[in-house]
Amino acid sequence: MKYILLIFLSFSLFAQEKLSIVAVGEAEEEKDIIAITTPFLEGFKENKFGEENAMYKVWKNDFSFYKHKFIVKEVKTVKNVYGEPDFLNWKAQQFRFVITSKLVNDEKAKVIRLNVKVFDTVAEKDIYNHSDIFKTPSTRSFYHQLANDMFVSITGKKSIFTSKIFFVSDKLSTKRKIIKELYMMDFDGRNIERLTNHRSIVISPSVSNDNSKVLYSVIKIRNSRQNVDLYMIDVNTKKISLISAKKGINSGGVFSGDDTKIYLTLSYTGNADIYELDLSSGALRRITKHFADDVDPSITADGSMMSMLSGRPGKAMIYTLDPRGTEKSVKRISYVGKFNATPVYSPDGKDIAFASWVDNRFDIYRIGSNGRNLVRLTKNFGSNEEPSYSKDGEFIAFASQRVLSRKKAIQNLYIMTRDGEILGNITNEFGACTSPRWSK
Amino acid sequence: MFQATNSKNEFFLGVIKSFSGHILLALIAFSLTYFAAFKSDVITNKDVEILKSSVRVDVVGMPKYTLQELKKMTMEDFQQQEPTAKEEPKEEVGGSEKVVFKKETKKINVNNLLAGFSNRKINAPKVKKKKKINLNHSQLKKLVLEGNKVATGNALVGDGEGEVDMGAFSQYANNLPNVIRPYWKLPSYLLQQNLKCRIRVFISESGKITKTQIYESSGNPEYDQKAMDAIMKVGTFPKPKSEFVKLVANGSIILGFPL
Repeated sequence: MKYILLIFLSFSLFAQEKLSIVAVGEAEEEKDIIAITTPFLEGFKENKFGEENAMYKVWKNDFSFYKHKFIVKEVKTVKNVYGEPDFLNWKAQQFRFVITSKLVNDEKAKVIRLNVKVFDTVAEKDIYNHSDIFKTPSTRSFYHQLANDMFVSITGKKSIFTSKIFFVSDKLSTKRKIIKELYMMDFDGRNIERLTNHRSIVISPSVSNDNSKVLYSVIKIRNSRQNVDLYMIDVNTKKISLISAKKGINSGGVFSGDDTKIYLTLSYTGNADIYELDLSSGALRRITKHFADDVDPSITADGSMMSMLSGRPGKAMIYTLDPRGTEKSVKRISYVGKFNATPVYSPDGKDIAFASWVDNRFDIYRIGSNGRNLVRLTKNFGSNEEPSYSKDGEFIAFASQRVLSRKKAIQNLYIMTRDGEILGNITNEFGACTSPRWSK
Repeated sequence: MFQATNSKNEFFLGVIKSFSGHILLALIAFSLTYFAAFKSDVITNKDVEILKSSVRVDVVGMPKYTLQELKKMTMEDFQQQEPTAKEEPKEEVGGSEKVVFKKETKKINVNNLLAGFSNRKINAPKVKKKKKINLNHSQLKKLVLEGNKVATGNALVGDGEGEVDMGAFSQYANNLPNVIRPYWKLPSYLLQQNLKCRIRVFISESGKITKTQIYESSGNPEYDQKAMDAIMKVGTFPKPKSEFVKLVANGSIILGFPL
């Protein structure tokens, strides 16, 4: 008996407790700290130059747009350490990347030489080393270009620093006449340039993929009848061509991935439908054929999917379809919202941002292109419309209107991250600004 | 005499045999214990199960909260959004002061009529109570319009697998990631490498971590350390219930970073 008991005891020692694995899930990205040192000067009288501050400010401001990814810190440069990285000290301050720059006044050659370096404190080496001639006066685009190059060395991806935003403003309106023209500006709201002079109402701009052309529509009065004509402007030459002036609406044009075709809304048949127009041959092909209005096309980069707004279910809802056929693979994406507008694909084609009428104003939402994962991006921030993605998909520009009184309202353009973190306005006191379109 | 001596010898022999046998068994038991303790460090897959927890989001209207607001919310915030039960008006006791004379009316039915003719007690037939739906029109409208309601589901989106074991221990284990996640952060260069590690945790009855052990390394010491740091930064975990406090103290939970 004793032996049996002892044997049982020994078996119990073999009994293993079951272990349970629980998934903690994906980690949140820890923001890297980018330290930007103030430019080091050499060969300047009283160690003063002046323009280095403008360059430094642009870099700081540019990188701060990516505050959801980085923490940007300003570091005063120490005189004798340019070119000698201090990894120990930088690591102690938890700097992940350090940007240094040096301006040398070469009096013999009568030029100012610029050198920029980016150091990776983990790899303990420089990952970007660029020398250039610093022209005076220098331009913001030069500073943006350098900032973009540094960004690429850090992340491996292009930034928004060299991008442009096209938009419509009624800046030239008078009390007697409303005038809306097409404008272009840097992504940060600087260097605003007017592109058109129709002295009429411009709507719905759209940029080509090579950023050289912009489609837009103009509301014209022809034979005492209102018509919406489609134009295209060459951004470099400023040459304007009339693309389509059929009866009714010729609007909402967007470029195909290779910029050889455009997709637009035409209503000359009596009903608004979406068509494909070959820019070289002028051939027209019908994409939608439904008694309800189909408007606002947006197409993926590979041209395989198109989103649109359709009144088929009785209310304006978002649909996707294959633009390579007519009424091909039409699928309803949105089922909620009193009125939805301006759906746009994200650059990777995975999401669609759109505006929806809720609580007596528009707000911006984002939904997966498969109709799942509907999220709200704006709230309690005026009336928000016309979202437009940046090329890297990290940001969304949109128009936001605030009503100040019965007679006065202001409308400016804002930028937010793709998850709805609003960074701020990029237009201010430039009339009512609408229809932002980010360059590609 | 010889017989007595023989019995004595037999007795002693028996004692020696018995003693030896006991010593041998004790040695076997001791070596088995040692072996089992060693073997417990080498766990086979059949001893491990993966607990799954899932959340199903039902959207019945446009979302009420923005993505930024949702990111800042905790489970407690969601639970506070549940509509509170409407308080039923208290029944008046003792009758109204305004009523001077209250005419009593009896329901006329067969039972009442027959009651007068018989001494036998007649039990009124049981009437099934109809369930009242308390939602009025505005509450229903609010329910239809409200979005972002979080409910514990039993299927992952796109997975559709399995049922969740909702035993107390499973619930406790499944809640641990919620406590750790705010501290689970990685720099971009580690995030891009798609590493994974598993850490075995030993939690005392007071919720303190008594020991951590790398159950499965990612191969990158910094990644493993980040996972350990996330656990240690929590400080005190929820106290385990008495029914499974030993399980938790003996390291029955392995945390997967990310799985």
